[in-house]
Amino acid sequence: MNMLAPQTLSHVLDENRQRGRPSLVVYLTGGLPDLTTTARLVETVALAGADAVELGIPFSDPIMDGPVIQAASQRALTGGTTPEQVFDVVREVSGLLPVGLMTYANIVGHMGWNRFAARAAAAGATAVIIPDLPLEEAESWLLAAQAKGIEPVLFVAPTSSDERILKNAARTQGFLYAVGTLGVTGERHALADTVAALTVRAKALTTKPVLVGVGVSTPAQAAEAAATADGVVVGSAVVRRVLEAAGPDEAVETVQSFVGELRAALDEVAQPMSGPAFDAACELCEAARLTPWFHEDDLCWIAECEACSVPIVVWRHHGLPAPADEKAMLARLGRVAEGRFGEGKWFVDGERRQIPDHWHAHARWKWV
Amino acid sequence: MTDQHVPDPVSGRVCAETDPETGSETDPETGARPASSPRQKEQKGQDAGGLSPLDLGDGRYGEFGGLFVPETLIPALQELETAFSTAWVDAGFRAQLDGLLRDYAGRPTPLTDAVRLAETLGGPRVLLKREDLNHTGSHKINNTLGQALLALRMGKSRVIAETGAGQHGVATATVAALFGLECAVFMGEEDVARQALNVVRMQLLGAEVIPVSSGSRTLKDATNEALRDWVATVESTHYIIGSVVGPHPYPGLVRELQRVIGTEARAQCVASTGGDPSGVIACVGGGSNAMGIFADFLDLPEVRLFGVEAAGKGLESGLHGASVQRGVPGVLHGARTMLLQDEHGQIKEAHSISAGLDYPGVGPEHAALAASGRATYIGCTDAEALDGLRLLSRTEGIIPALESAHAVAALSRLVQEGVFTEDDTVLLCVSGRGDKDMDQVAAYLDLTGRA
Ligand SMILES: Cc1ncc(COP(=O)(O)O)c(C=O)c1O
Repeated sequence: MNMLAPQTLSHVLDENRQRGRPSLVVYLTGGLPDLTTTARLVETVALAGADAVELGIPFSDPIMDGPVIQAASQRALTGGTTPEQVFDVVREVSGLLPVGLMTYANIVGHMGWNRFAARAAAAGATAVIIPDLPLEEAESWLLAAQAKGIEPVLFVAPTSSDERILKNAARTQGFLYAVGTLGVTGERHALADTVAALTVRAKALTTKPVLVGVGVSTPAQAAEAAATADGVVVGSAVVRRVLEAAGPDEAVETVQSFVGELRAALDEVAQPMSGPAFDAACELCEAARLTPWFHEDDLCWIAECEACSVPIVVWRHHGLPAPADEKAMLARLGRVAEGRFGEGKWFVDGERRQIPDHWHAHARWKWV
Repeated sequence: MTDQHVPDPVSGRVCAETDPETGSETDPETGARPASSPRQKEQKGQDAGGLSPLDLGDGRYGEFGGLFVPETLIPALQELETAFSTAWVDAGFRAQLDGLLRDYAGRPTPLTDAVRLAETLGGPRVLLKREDLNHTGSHKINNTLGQALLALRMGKSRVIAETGAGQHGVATATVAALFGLECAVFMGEEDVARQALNVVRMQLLGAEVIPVSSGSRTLKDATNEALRDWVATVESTHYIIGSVVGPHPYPGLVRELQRVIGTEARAQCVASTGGDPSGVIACVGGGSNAMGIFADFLDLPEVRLFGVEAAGKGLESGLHGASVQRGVPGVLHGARTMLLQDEHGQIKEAHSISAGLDYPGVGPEHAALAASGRATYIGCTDAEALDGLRLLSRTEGIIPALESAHAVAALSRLVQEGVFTEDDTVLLCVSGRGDKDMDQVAAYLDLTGRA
């Protein structure tokens, strides 16, 4: 059992993205084929190169799942799998990699939003994904999750408007789950056209990692999806292998080699970003909270500049932002400056003297 | 609640206006919202420039309702809400629907004074609202005609439906044929077997009947499968939900489409007795015929409302469909409502002799009406329902559907218990006719040696 606090999903996926390495999240149904083997499978998946695991708590009526995960859920339930038992599996494996729980609203609501969040966190889960809990219904859950340090993962779909993508992106943590295709989970012969369209749209609207799930079935499809997304979630293709295996050993063996193939295919398309998104030597990338912070969001943070004692806005990424982002960040800085110096009694100093290659700007006091 | 009755200028119907809802906080532990009026701000208002869209509110009925669906479906539900709320106050749409209800479905349906039944029971005057006389044999056509027009309005070329008894499947296949829409109906394997006649009808009407083999192989699983289909086909397909269940806006939308039952019945009752009934009785599967006949009486507290759930082999047996009486709150098929579930939140199988009542959930507005005490929910067993079916057949020459037979059985019990006496008038919804159930009834009667 792991005694350290588990790494969060955000931490691992953000770091991957900054390195230009596509992330791989693998879904497994808790209790399939049995609880002991589930734990073995998580270890296997971790060793074979998955960055995180999404562990399903089986539900009797999984409306977002196709035949494979339906059958897996049914088998796990017939075997007597309970939410508590899946928490126990999390407890065993959470030291290996970040573990998210995935289940339906009734399972979480039945236990109580707060109680579920508390138990998930106590077991060492770092995230929870609930596919039938859209933003409209999620407020209580988001508060409960936040209170317990659980990252709630929210969805976008090909049918989502830009406005909805923005709303979900603002509230999701860990990553933004992009449902790649119109449909429920299950393997597909080819990656849907909707994947590229949706992920390009989503990535223009958020700086959080965007992962494609639903219908990513093969190493080639994973690589194709990673061309426009920050990574993939693979479920049915893995679970089918567990369902079809003659026994636990065979399940572990086939899952190990399949996840290894997924990892290799993704690594092949890994692209160290042109100009590092994160520079370990850069003070601004480090974002150490040495002074008071006034604001922070997806795009930037604003704090008291250590050297000048005036507000400084810093882009979250190493390098230079697009003009629209720059404008948005300066507007943000303006609001802080207004409060600090008074209306009109300040100006933007955009010159980067110490760290020219990481965008930032100061707001300074001016005589009127 | 300060509801007022205002005649709808298009239909002349009476409808309700309630106070705007006060914003409510949720309980972080249960997700529950403090109880408020079960009928959230539903307005058929009128402003100077014409009709304003019907407001179905936010789909909350006290702590129940909501829209618990995958993100993929949210835009379609928003589109449906807009389409319905504008269509409902569009005189052209209402005229088209009213015309179809009259010339195609056969509305208004009669109100039959059940004199021999009343004599036999030795109690109140009984007025039967004859939804069995609708085209296709049940109230379900009221809903499917309206939703098919909405599908056309939204430019959808395909409709899907779930069905238990097959009546909603038949009603959907019927309107699909009428309007030239592609149609697929999901039906649990067990129901395919016990409602064989309706399967043939649907196929004859050109619908594809898709047997569902997952889970309990009944209505719950058919609904899961319809939702899964919709997630994949939402751009071209409208999902015609068959009852006052599912995510917002369906419960309110289906209630409005079924409201015609109660609106007609109330006027007919006043015409023949000079006043409102003292009680209204209807069976509750998802609860659409009940909501339809209750709707216009909700604001008349002197009219007692009874919903009849399937008690199957007995409420204590665990084999029943009594979600209001024996369920606990939870989330299924897009709504928070009363559900039969185990201690971990897994949905339990329901049981009823009647496929249309064999469902572990119930419409969220019924859950709220039960919580507020405005309506009372009681159970009738399989055996009682069969007695009810025979009773109505022999006294009135009307063979009801097994679902509706539960309402007849409930009336008989309520009279025995003295709830209704000779001074009362009871309005009873005969939601459908019994033809579809004849194989099953015959088999059951043979089995038990009764004639
Ligand atoms: C004749 C009849 N009555 C009642 C029902 C139950 O549905 P609801 O409760 O929505 O009226 C059905 C459903 O199939 C039915 O066919």
